[in-house]
Amino acid sequence: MSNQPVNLTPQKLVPLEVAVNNRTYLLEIKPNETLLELLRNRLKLTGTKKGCDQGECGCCTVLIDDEPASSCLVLALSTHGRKITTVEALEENGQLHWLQEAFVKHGAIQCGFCTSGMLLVAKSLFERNNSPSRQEIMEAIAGNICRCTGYEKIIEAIWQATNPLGNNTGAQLPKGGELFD
Amino acid sequence: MYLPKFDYHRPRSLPEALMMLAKLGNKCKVVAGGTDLMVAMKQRRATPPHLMDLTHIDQLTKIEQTKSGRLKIGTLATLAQVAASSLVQSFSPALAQAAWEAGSPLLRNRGTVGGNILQETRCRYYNQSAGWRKGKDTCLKMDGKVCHINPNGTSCLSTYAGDLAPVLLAEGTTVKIATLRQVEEVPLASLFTGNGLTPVQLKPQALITAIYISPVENGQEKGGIYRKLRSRPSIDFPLVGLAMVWESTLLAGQKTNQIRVAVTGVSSQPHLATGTGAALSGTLPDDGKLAQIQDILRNEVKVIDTGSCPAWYRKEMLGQLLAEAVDKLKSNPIGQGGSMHE
Amino acid sequence: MTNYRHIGRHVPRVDGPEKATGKAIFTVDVELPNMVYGKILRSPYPHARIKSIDPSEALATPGVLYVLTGAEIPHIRYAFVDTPRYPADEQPLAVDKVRYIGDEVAAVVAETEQLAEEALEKIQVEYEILPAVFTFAETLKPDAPIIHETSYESGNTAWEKWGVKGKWQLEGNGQAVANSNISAETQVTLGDVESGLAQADLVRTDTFSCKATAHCAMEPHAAVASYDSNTGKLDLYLSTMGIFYKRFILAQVLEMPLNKVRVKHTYVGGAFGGKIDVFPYEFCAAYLSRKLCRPVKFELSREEVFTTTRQRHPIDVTITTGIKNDGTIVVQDIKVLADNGGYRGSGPIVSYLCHGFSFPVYKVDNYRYHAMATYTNNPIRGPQRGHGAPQIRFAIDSQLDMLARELGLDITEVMLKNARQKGDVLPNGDYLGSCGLQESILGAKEKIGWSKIRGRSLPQDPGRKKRGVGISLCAMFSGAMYYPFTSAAVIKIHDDGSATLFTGTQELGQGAYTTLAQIAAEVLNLEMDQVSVVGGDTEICPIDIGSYLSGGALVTGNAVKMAAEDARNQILFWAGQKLGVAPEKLTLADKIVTVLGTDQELSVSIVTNFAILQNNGLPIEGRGSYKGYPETDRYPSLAKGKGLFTGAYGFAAQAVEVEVDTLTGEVKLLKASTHHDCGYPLNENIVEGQVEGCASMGQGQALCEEVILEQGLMLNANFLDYKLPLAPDTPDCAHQPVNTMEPRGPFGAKEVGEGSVAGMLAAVANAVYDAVGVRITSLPITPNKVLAALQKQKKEQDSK
Repeated sequence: MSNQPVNLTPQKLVPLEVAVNNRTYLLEIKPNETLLELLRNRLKLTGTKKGCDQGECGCCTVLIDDEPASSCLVLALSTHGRKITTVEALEENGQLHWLQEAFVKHGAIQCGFCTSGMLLVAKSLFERNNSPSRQEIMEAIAGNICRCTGYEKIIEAIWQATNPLGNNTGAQLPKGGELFD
Repeated sequence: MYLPKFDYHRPRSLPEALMMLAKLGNKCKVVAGGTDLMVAMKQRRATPPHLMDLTHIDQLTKIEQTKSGRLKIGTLATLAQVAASSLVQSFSPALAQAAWEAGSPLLRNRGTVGGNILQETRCRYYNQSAGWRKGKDTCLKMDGKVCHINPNGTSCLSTYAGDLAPVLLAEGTTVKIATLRQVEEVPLASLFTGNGLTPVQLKPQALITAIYISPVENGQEKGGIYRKLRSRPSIDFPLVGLAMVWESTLLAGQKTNQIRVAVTGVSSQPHLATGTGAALSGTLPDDGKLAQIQDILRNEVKVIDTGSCPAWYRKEMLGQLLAEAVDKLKSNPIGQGGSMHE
Repeated sequence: MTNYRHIGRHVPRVDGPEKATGKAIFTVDVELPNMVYGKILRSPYPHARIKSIDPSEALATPGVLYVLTGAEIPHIRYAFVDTPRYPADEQPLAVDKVRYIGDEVAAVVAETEQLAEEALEKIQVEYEILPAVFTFAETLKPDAPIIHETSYESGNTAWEKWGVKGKWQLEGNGQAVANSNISAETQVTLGDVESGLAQADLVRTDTFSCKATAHCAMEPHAAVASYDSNTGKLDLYLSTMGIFYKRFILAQVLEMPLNKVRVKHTYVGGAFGGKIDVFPYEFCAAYLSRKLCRPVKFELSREEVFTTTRQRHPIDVTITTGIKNDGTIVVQDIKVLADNGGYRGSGPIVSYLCHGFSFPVYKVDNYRYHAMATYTNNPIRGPQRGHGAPQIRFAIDSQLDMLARELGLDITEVMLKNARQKGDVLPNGDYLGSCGLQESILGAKEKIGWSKIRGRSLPQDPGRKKRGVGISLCAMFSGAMYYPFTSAAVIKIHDDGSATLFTGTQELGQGAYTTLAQIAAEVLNLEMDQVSVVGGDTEICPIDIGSYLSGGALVTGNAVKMAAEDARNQILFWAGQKLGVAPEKLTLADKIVTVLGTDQELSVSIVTNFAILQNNGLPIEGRGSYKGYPETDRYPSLAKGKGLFTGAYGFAAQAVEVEVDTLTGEVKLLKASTHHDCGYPLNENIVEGQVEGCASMGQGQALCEEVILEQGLMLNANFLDYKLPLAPDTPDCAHQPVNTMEPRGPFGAKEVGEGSVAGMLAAVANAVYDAVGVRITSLPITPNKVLAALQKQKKEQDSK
């Protein structure tokens, strides 16, 4: 083991101003830090998960200026001046967001590792389309992998939450079972 | 996987960016959406000493119509923006469709037009982590001596798999390239080299700033389609992709078409299948003639096996995609490039 | 149907809000003060001798704290299977040889994760590359390089420590076969195969093959170890399916007493069988934490998860089946070849289980089974959801479809004729106290619209896309006698009558905490929020059979039910004492004890206080336990298939409708209906979610998932190139429980959540045949395979 000093900041730090969950942070960070690393390691917001670190699974999904993106592929420094939303922003004053409630109610959560990504994509979807069809929901979460649920209850939870019975205008029924008969 | 170290630059305007590039030259790579370059860097296929972040240059994100009526798409427009743009849809439904088909919703929110065009070619031996590649001799694309696809060959066979390029080639797209000293507009086709080692020729000091698509001429109706063969309904690159763009004119009471066909996912560059386009142009082919034209397509395109789906199948499917494009032309020639959900 | 307060209902998950808000802590989220980071250096070669390892440049780097190599720990050996016949063949770090690409060669610990990653580049290893083998054919050749040259010493194996030393395990020479690439062998004979063949009206022999597949749990493998030098205590955070199993093995190899080794609770982000083996990074975390007296964290990259944890066994099945004209199966002769990779992994178990999941489904009197698992220089194979069931069910039910067609019978009729029934005694002695196969077959058949679609698609029909239906059956065990052979539970009744359940089970996503809380709340007649669950901790929770033997419902569920009943009985006893009333005349509801038929009541608070005062201070705590399988002390013989296996089997019939595009070969799964007999669904929503997940995994493994290997190198170790299903792939599903009320099970419940992968594979293959008349016998059923078969079919038709 070497007794030489350990340089824990071997690169010149660069200033960053970024809003995360409605709070603006002033930071100085290494250029090669990804947004995912910033969120998990620096800000200790561990709700956003690292599933593959290559932008292929969606577990690290956050909203950047309200658009879902894989945070593992985003340089933290490129979020300068931007607004980042993570799953931690959904709950307010101890109350679950209505999407979170829907996920819990409909059994859309099993192991929970893909959940934060799915919730943020659903939130963003609803902001653009306030009564998405089953097909539109499937397409919105197409880049978020879930290995536990087979997607069915996630699709149902999002559909039920965004299309309460009676408000639904022409969207397809979520339960495939009915389509069998 | 940690990114390698680099010096970071964040220009606020195009002139600032060009000035930095002029100074740093080939020591600097540009990053926009990062969906290609970030993975390459994590896998140590790219380790630039300098990285220039373009994402704060707002002027390059615009989708608009120029004074002369052309469609101008800024290089930093995201694939999601292109897919959703009614302006793009009216100029080139096939382009809107191709943008929608690329990647996944998450990737489309970050991936840009410029990045999609300029993406690196791909190969199952190249798109791997540094640790993975240690077990094999360094390949040609990594400045090594061997091609693992064809051990007896001396040229890199990596495949170009961008979704936008075939549509853009079929549309006769031009590209504005800027350096600190000059701005020029060139056909997009001139950028592709067909060489897997350096698939795109762009000076290190240069930036693509926008792409242009001409409006349809008077008396012409325009349409187009992009058909992407893929393993799964999202995330995946094309196994092969075929774009067909047509301009239809009424000539002496008969509808005559000018058709251009281009493909991607076949070889080291997107390929404008001129023979196929010529054979299709004129009046629409019947089934017998279509079979001949499918053969022309399969013969004028080289399909290389660099993924895990066999080349014979992808070559076969090229003919199938062409048939579907022709069907689309027959059934719905104008405007709509086809449902987003096909 | 019985009207329970919680059981059978859609009770929202107790861990739902925690996971929905991102607060749930997984092992990858664990961060401890003074923590350092480890990374593993891996072999780039499939087979090589290690000549030298030079860590000096790494060690000279500031911030690098330690480099561990096999030379320091050459005596450490463990494995998932460790018996006299199959002694452990794995070491945490390679000592003499590496045997697959990714094999662990060294472990580095550094102050930051980035420094550890960089340090890997600085360790110089000199290899002597050896010839390698990658297929059954290559590895079984007489002159093939031997992958494990020495025969390991037995006599001190894990199984023997557990007291499992049946005579039949020492049959033959009792030693592992040395100097052979055969790592396991299972042979079973029942009845008289020759006589069976003579009775048969139709005999077919067919070969089916399955590629390796990956678990793809979304949480990568990780471990945090924290050793306290003052107390000598080692805390472990493991993303695992068996905390007691891991504790046992790690304590053994670290030579620490069990009271000093603690696995602490973390949520597990999916497992599917891939997180039960003890992994080198877990050993290294523990060993290095003890060495450095600092917490050490190892987190694997996704590529490492794909290539260096475990994969499903690629298996070839050659099956000969004889059948009578009326559809009765009279004989089956099955040969199985499994590739377990560079180390034995779970080879001996899958060798047994391909048999273990064939005999519970059809009654076949004349039967011969021979399985071999072989070493190759491929990645290591281990348990994956179904563990042999998918591969064997694919073979059996694909062939059954072929046989039925040749006889002019509908496969569902053949299935009904041969499927097991309640009351059957299986050849190994297991008794089917419940079996819903008959009902499942009929249900699935009806739900999928069998009669409307089956056989309707004709080759001469115009139309590009053709539809077909297919069906397959499967069975799955509900717990077995593997360490620690039991589940126990403790329920504390607090002063106010609320309760806390202590269970050593782990929550992997399967809904264990919720379902067990429901059982406790049901028996104690409490609201769900009056029952808390403490799980997943070896120190504060009672021993548990683990979440890798499909025993969550039957074994742990029974333990919890017993503990709750024990607690309730104590409450009623002491209430009776206070009231002067016999306990039988009392009821308990929502923390109030009432005398039946009166309005005389007593709060549980008063009862608990009374009990303490009367009973020398002993509080009310319920205890329960359930042996993995009461009638036996051990797992069946892996080599001979003899011995009781499990107390109950879950069953399912899975029917699907597919649409085949005849021009592209693409197969789209339109509908899937699994009629599953889980005894009784303890939580209908959780059970349905488990089945949906199983069916999705089965869909993937039928149509598009495969580990692509080239000379031992995995070409698709990422989520782009490994094609698991995405949301738009979701078919219309209509899954249905078939309630058979398993007598052994708590409230009639038994296995669900592992079985219903296996029936998807032949169902899809059979549906493809129904649609377009081509038989694909190797998985996955990719478009190019289907198109090639269609083109061949057309050629043959044109030449006629």
